[in-house]
Amino acid sequence: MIRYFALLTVTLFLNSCFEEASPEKDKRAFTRIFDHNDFGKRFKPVDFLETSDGGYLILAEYNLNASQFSGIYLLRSDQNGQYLNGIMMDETLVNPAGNLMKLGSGYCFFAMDPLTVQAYLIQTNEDLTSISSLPINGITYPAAASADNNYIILLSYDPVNLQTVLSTLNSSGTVTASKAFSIGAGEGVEEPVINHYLRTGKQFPFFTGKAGNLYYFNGFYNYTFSLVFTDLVQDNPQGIVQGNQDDGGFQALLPLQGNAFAAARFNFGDNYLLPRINLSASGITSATDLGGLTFPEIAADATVRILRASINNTNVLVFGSDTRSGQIGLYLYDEATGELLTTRYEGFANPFKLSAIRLSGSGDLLLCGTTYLAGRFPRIFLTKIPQQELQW
Amino acid sequence: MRSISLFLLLASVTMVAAQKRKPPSSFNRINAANTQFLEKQWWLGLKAGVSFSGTVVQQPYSGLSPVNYTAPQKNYDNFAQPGFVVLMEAAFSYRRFTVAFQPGYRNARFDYQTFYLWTDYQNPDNRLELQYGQQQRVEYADFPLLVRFDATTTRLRPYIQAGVYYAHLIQAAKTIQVTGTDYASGGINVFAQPPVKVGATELFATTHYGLIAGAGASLHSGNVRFSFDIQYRKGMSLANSTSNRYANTRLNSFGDVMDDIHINSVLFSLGTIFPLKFLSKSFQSVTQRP
Repeated sequence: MIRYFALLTVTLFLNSCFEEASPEKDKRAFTRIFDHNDFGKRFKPVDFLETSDGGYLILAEYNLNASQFSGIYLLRSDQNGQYLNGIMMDETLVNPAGNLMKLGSGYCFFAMDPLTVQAYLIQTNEDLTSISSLPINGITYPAAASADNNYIILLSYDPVNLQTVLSTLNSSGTVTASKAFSIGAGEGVEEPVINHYLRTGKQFPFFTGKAGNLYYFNGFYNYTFSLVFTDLVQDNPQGIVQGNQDDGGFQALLPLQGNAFAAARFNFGDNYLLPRINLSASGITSATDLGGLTFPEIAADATVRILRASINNTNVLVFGSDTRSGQIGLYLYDEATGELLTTRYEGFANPFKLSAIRLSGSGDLLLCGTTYLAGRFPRIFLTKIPQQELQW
Repeated sequence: MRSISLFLLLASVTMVAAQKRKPPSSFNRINAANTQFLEKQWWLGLKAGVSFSGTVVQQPYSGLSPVNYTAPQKNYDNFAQPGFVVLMEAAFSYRRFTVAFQPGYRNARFDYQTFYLWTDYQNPDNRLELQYGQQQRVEYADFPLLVRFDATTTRLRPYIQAGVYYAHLIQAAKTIQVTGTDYASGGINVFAQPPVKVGATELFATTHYGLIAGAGASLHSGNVRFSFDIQYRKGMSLANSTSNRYANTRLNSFGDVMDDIHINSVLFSLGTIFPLKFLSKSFQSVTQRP
């Protein structure tokens, strides 16, 4: 009897040592590249979200044959990152602007009519079987948006009055508050803005948000790419952190507490990370005076994304950006001390570029961006990194 | 499949040879003392040879998730690349039966290719054909346990054998070679990029186990035995790591991830074993004393 028990124990022990197929492990970590076999198609993600079924919804843009603007591409994957279905919208609505936001049980983002440049709020359900578009009266050239409880903060551009416009909208798409700020006078002043929309020039890191009672936007104001704080009541901004015309300013910003922010800024191609910086939301200051940790490895004018997360029981700030070597660099800082905890690099051989970072429901890190298959075809990738792999 | 057929053929030949039961020739004749010497004996020896490995895909995986075409499967070149095997044998024989423990080193090599095609929808003449060739080299410490049956009791003894093995991963590496033909850059450009070699130990299972069937023959000469041995090892658990499938960021960037696979191998080895009992002080067997 003892002999049989010993044999059973040994068998069970050996079994536990061997690998077995595991659906749980398949969704724990993955890197998925969504390929299209059209030689001429180019894809670039704008934003993505984890859906309620554990899958992922990716908002991306693609090149149109009949328009200078970018088309809208929505892609849905399962929880393993495997492609389920996608919609390549036609050229009647173009230039998807992030963020991709959860709105009730559905998801929404902004785009525009390529002829009238009027902004549209586009809503979809989780499985992409129902898509609707709602014109936003008086708003043109949407640039960026973010959710604020049941409201949406929308940054846009008014080409008639040469103004940056910040608005709040309710879930029905009705503008509830709006203020416009001059980008400056003169013919040449809007050239970088239009080139941004046509994707023929520098891509500016437009974004919006709310810190305390003030709204903020990163956009053009008074001839300069600036971070502007406003209460959307007074005509003039409450505070401005000026960049350096269109050569300097903020790449990313994340409110932490009070006047404390995590930020990234650029200046003539150089990049600086600021894990914790106090910004004045009143008066005029200069981004150049903020200093920061210089990162020569980050590519000039590269996208930077900042994520607040709890990893391995530590509150961390995850900075993600594109390196000069074609990888995505992840830099993890202790939120409390600003100390660098660890770094990690994604990608090799074919270039990888970051579009968005999110935290999964299980607390793991999700990256979405562009990789160049065969070194030449821009395709969407989605990577999930278990937080256990981020050790320091 | 080819290897299984080969194995069955060899096993059949061995069995037929064993069943003929011809009277031993003078070469094969063994005297009574020698029979006593060989009836119950401990042996220790060394074997070395080559191995050929192949895979059986349990579940295919790909880093690429196509949105408008079917995901390409990997084309495996099974049993095409020779590996090296060296093993020690500790055995106990009783009459025609032998129980052998053969701890050793084995490297398994297997290749696969994945083919991709991108075509310009506006101009179908513009296209790029790309082939990713992946060569795996996996090194194992093996611990096989075999039961062997001698078909005859002659000096030249054909045998058949069966058993189990436990393999422990030592290390693994992958070499990626990208080749292709570019029809879209003003001509027909056939190119081959330099191979990229990366460590891939984390992509393979630390341990796996399997079954062994085989045949061979041993020749008793002096007080040693020489043997020619063929083993077919059939992997019974996954040889890849399911936890670390995406752990290698270098390989992820190619869209390559390991399938769930079992590794099967055919081993050909030559060796010699020495008796440990009935030896005189001059290390001669009792049967060889003048």
